[in-house]
Amino acid sequence: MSKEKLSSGLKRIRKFFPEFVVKKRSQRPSLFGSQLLGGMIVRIVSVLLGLVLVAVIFIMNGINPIELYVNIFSTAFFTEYGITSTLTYFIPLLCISVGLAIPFRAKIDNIGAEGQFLMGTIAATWAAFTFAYLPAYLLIPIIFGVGFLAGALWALPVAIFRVVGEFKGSDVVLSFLLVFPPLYLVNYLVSGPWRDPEGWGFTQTAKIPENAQIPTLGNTTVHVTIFLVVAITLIVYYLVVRTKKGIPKTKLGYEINVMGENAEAGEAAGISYLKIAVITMLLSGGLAGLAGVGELAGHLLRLRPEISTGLGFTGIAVAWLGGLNPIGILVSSIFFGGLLAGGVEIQIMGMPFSTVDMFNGAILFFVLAAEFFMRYRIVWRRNK
Amino acid sequence: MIIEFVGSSIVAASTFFLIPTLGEVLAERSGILNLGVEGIIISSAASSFGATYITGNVAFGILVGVLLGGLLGLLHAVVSITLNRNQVVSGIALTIFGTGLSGLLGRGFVGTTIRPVEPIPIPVLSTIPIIGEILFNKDILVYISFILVPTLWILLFKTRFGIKIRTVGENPAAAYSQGVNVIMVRYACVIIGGMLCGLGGAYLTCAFNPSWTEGLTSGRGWIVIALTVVALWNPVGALAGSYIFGTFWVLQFYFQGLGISPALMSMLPYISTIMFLIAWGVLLSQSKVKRIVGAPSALCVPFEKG
Repeated sequence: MSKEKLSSGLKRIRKFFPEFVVKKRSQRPSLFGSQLLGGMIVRIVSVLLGLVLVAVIFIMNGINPIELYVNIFSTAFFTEYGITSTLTYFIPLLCISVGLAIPFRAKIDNIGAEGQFLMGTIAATWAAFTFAYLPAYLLIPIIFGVGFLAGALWALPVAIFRVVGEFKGSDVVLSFLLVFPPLYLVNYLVSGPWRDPEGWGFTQTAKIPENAQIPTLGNTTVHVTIFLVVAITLIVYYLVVRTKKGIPKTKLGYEINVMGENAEAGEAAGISYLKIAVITMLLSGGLAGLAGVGELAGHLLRLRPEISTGLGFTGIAVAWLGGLNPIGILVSSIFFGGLLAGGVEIQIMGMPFSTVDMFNGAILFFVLAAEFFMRYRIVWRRNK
Repeated sequence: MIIEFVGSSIVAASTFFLIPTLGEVLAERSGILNLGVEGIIISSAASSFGATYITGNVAFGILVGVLLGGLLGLLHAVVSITLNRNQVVSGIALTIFGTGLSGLLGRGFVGTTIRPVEPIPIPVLSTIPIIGEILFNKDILVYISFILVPTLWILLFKTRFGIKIRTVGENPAAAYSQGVNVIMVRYACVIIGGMLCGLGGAYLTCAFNPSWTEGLTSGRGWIVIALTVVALWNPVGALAGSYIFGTFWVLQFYFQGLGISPALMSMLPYISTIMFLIAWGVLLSQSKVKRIVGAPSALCVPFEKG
């Protein structure tokens, strides 16, 4: 087909569709919360659309989505096992996602949270065994501190690279590549120097000393870190996100928002991009590390390769679904926690657990697409 | 003998990196960062394997993988181009989605085998000692990768369309004012890029390592993104980078035999890439050769008409 024929053919097709024009909304609602109700509705619709898309794919693969969804939902929220499982996932997920929201608001993309999480677990394991002689009320804060520090330091290169690196997405590549060394380091440590001598050869460490173990609620797997992370969520909200009429009330929150919206304007106004990058990444990495400590000392109680379940990546979807707002993230973490908890139903129906990722991805796509509809109006104009 | 064996492995492994990197180079040259590469590769790998298993026809299987790659690329294109959203998040969503999709698509085929693509020795060239075995006794996808490098190079640097692509990547506003259809160019590049990633995934399960398990790529697709930087957004650079990386990849297994811990050796390719990125970043900030060494200026910047 010649070029002329192709373009005239396209022109003829266009004539049939009413021409539409995309106009930017004159009053740009901030994604981060001022149009709260509209934002929530859009998000709920995104989730539903994501579920629909995945349902369609399931049908194409011979699986009954309705049955599956009902199973997931009822297992996650209506069984005792499900609720505890949901909450157990909720703890690290909330922590990581709130941490991710901070640099994301500054348009700094930390996708290495998985690696920072793992560095937290490694550091916590080390501290738990090294300082085992300390009483619990000293030891537990120490391992939290060490885990936070490890995650934060591991995130630092990303901040530097973001500012200094010359191509967009350099921070993304670096932060992702930085996931692998900790992953392999865990493998190395638990199959070698840190392997449990009485562990019958399993690749895992010994159980961490009693003093280091975080108490749980009752007989469940829900450890009291849950209170810590909720507190952290509220603190982050208060210190970083809280806004009045769309403008953050704290200096840090304000600077983060500005650098996220328009970095050059911010620099011209005297905000140092490096400072913001470093602060946000340190907080983000630290919180991811903290989540790691919780998982290690509260949930698994020993270091194993399986401690990494992709929460660092799920957290990205959680953070976005929550509108990069800690309060919204609280809700979306419960949702995703439930999805992961109910995900065991997916396995029962014969699919690999990773299929849950399809939900994550689809929802993230729709949340992203929904942003479009929040910022732009489509004006329909009939073609003459 | 051993040289031929190692060399062959290196060529085989590098091809897996080369094909998707070429695709990503194309996409990024038009200004779109596609971080969904890992998701596309692994989905296509699963689907190709499954399609080959079901139909018994490996060519069909590869085609399925390529088409799926294009489709997934289209998804990213719509969100990044038409809807003009954050390309990083869109790419990550695609990766997450694609990884989950691969588990679903591949679920019936774990542990099964297929008849893979057969090596095709090239008549005269494959009789050359050593090199003949390494380079010219491989399967057709490897040969395709050899052809793709100069093809893409010519496309990007010697054709009108290539100029359009590069202008769109450097300064889409200027291109638009010159009458270039920025949207179409970007869509084309992203979709073709996706198809090449799909081809890479198909290569993995239909030629290189004919099997399927969950998570088969173990994150190797992400290396493609780093390789695009290493390649300096140039097909020839992609060839060099892929082969260097392929060499590291193959050698890590041999070093394990020497008693160095496998886990530490597995880190090596990633650490070397990180080192390269850092060195490159430092180099870039100091040098005036930014145009040669640097990224397309409009990479990852959403393009808004008017």
